Amino acid sequence: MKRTDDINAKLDFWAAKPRATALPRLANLPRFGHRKFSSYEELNTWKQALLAELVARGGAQWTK
Amino acid sequence: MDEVIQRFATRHVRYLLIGGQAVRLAGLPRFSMDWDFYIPPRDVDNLRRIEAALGDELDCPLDPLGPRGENSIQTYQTQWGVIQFHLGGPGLPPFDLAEQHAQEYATENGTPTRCLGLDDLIASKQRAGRPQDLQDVAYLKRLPPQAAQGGKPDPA
Repeated sequence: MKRTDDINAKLDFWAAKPRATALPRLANLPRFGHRKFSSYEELNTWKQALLAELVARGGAQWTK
Repeated sequence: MDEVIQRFATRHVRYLLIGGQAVRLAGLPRFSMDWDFYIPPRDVDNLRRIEAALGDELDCPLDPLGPRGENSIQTYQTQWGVIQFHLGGPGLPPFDLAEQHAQEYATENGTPTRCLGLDDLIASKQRAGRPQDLQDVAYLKRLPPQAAQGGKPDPA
């Protein structure tokens, strides 16, 4: 198995010299107004709907 | 998001970065859509400082935690990305206690960021229990002692 195929090897590698890595951002998340939740269940339900809307629009686009 | 952190610092906002972004700053290259900030749930002065720091980017004032858990998570879409304020949650210790164990990590641009302490972050991830959370735990438990004690990631 290649090291890059082994998640444990990758975790060992990253943890040996930890540093923050810049990752791309979602460029086309649907616009929404503020939301207030009373539980993580409510939050996750709303987030799944938001991501479904993103998929319906053709999927994620990324930017730096 | 560095600008948000810097604005918080200028306004002396009490916050702790939690969730996937905290794990990312601890060194795991992983995606997260949101920036999750744990804040004291009923410190109204702190809520007002956050609003002052973020200005018009918040389209509604922050509310303190209600008696039945209302407003425990408040989400905003801003020019910097999605920001979520957590006023409590499963696996999170009381804010005052968590604040004592806070850990500072630098962003990829070198901005010092107050994060949930390593042990508390692991506990919160274990409690969440999703596959990504468990992978986060596997990573966090591998961190060397200097990182676990609040060392700053190597900026190289």
